[in-house]
Amino acid sequence: MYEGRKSRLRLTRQLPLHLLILPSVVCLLVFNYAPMTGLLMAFKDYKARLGFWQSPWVGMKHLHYMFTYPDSTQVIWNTFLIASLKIAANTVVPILFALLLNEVRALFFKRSVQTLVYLPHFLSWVILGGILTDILGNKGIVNQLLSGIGLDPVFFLGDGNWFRFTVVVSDVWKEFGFSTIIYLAALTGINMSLYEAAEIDGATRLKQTLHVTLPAIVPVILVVGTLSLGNILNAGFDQIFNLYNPLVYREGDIIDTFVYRVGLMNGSFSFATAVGLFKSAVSFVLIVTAYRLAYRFGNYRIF
Amino acid sequence: MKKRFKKQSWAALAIAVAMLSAAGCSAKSNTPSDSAASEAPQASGASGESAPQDVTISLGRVVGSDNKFKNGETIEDNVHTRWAKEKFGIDFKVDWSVGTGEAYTTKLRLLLNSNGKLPDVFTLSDPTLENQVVDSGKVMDITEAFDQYASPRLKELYAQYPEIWNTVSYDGKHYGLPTFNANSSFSVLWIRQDWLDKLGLQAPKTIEDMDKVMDAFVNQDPDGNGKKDTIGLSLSLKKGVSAVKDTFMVSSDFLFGHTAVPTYWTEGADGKLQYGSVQPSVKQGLVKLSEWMKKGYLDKDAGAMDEAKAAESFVQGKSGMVFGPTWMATYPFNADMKFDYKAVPIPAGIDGQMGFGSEPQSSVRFYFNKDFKHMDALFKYLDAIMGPGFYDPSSEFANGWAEGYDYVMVDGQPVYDSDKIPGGFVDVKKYTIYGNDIQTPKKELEVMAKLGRGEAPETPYEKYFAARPKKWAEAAAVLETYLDKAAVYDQFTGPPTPTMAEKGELLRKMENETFLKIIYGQESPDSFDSFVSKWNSSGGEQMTKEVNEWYESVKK
Repeated sequence: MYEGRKSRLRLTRQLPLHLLILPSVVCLLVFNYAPMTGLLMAFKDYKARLGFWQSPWVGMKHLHYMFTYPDSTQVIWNTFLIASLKIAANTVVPILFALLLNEVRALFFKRSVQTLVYLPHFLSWVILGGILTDILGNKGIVNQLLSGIGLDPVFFLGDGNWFRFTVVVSDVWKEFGFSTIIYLAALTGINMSLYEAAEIDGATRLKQTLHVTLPAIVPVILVVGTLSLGNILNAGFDQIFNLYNPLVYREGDIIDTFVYRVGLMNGSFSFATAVGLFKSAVSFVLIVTAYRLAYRFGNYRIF
Repeated sequence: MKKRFKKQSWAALAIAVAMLSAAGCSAKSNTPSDSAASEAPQASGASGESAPQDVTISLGRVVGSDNKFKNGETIEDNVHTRWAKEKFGIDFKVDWSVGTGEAYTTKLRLLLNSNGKLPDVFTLSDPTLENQVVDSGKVMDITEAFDQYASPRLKELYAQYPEIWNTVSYDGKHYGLPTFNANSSFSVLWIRQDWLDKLGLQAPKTIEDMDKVMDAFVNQDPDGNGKKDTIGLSLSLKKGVSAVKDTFMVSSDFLFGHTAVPTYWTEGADGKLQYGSVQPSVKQGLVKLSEWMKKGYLDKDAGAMDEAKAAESFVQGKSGMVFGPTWMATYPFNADMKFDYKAVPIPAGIDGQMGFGSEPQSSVRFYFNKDFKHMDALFKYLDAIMGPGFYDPSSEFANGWAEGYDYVMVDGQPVYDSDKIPGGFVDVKKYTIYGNDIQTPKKELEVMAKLGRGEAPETPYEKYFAARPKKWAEAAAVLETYLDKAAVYDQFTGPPTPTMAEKGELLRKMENETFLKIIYGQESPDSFDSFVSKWNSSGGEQMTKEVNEWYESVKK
């Protein structure tokens, strides 16, 4: 009796707050959850004429077809490889850069470098695609440098062996400045007295970095790392789509570009949905696993 | 206490509702025309019940942000609809209107799926959907209506191009009215005349000539800067070896000649459709391209460049030739190109004949609700608004669609300058049921070619086009001399066949990959043969069969 009254009282007290959050919840339901109904398309043979509900059910046909499609293995492997390389590089490079930048004492220099390196983040891949075609072209600045030191020119965008490298490096170049911000913020939060104590104990700058700075930002690294694992099958549609060409299909075709060509250009919506569903499922499993691991070993809760 | 909480709840609820409805409003405000359009019928309906010949035609309309109105007009009541009412007694009733062409198609698709009422007249440009519309039995067989009501010049036009009906033909009956594309731009070879003069060369007429000219363009320093930094031919291969369907300019299809154009379905000697990319002549063409690539006649980055990027080398004066439409004179070419370049006929291809992949003859088709009763009035209206498409000097729309809207007469001459038109320029052709000029094949080319030959502009159309760059007109005059001989049309114009939907992308990817690797010398030309057999076994053969079944069905 008393319990019930208490909880009812709590509910009444919190009601205004619940109502305030209502719009966000409705928006979330309408824009994030309702569209998920569309996933049913992966198990139907979608015909525009019949519409969504009338299209016949075909069960696992599209998923089965995806795994027997001759190019699927190649495409999934490409996606996985490029995305993993990107995740690794996009974690390591910003941390290193943040540590280096943190040692810089000249404030003006530090600020300007920081601004300069995150500028590329705001350029779209459509623009960068054009710029990279120029820079990496046969007569571009990179190949001119290479021939300056006596090397053969490299067809970065058309040579299968170089394409993945080009994609990963250009992505890091575009994004590392922006990712650095989060680590710099974490670095400013470290208690200065720890450094003072380490200094008194005779630690060098390197030792201080290894034993004070790095452990202090591990939680942030874990959060960023875990969240990015969700992208293990997102190798970056915008980038690949603007850079790839038939010469590098074998090494550069990823799930998203493949879905674009099959699903949108060729009109197989159900098949494209099935592939998308597969992608989301894999990402979901990975995120949950990474979160569990982070909790168990890092004793860190994100959610 | 309790009361206070309640008050708070109400306030919070009010805020929540306000926020939600604000979100709702912003979504709705995209289509202000909706309410305007639905109010209009009552306004115009009152005055339009007199004459017995009155007909009502219901339409769906696209009213985009570029659709301007003045004098308080709407899409349902404007200078054009009043003209149609007065002249033919036609009332246009707007069933619904949307903001974009894409939304228009979506709306029709929904109406079809939900058994809603289709407008009396509508247009579609998606063969798959068109196939479904006809399948649904909701559109009219217009075979008889066309014979009965179409104007003589319309009949003559369609009789001249009977294959235009293919997309709408089922069992020999026509379930829609295809409209024509202008077919006036594709394609010419743009070449650096100053380089030719400097090196004492003639414009190439054959592939052997191309070899010679390109060799000189690359190795004899035509731009005189002492560096070997020029290429022979600008080329975009990013979308594969393809023609205008996929690569709208800077493509390479002229090289393959007339026998087979990559990615095009054409009729072979046995009267059956065959896929261009797997024909033997294409292998020879690829070998040639690979030779050119090796010798440095082409840009080494061609495979990574899209059309605009690939055209840059010519615009910047670093390339000797580029293949593309006549309108390249306005884009990507520009007035800053201070060198002597011009359009010449394309050289004969690898099979010894001139050929290139042409734009489709038709991209948009009219369909009519099967309950629509007034085809007679509609065809009269259609003939009138097609006047400009026929470039008919006696058309009442020769100068423009409506004086005081898209032109104004100054000293007896039409002026199209927005500043001179009271109230500003309004694009009245968007008020027509087609929303654009309905073109007829090669008529624009005739007008442009006449100007290109240096003849004085006489008709209003010629005067209007005289404002276009001179190089464009000159290119048209060149193109006119060989267009009929060289244009190759993709003769498969039906909806994608089942195998095409399932395997088309796989086959296309294989094709592009093999072709580019051959061109770049990463694979030997003989991999073409294994590509062809793999293409056939992975669905190509089945696809060819299905395509020919369709072709048989429309030829009936």
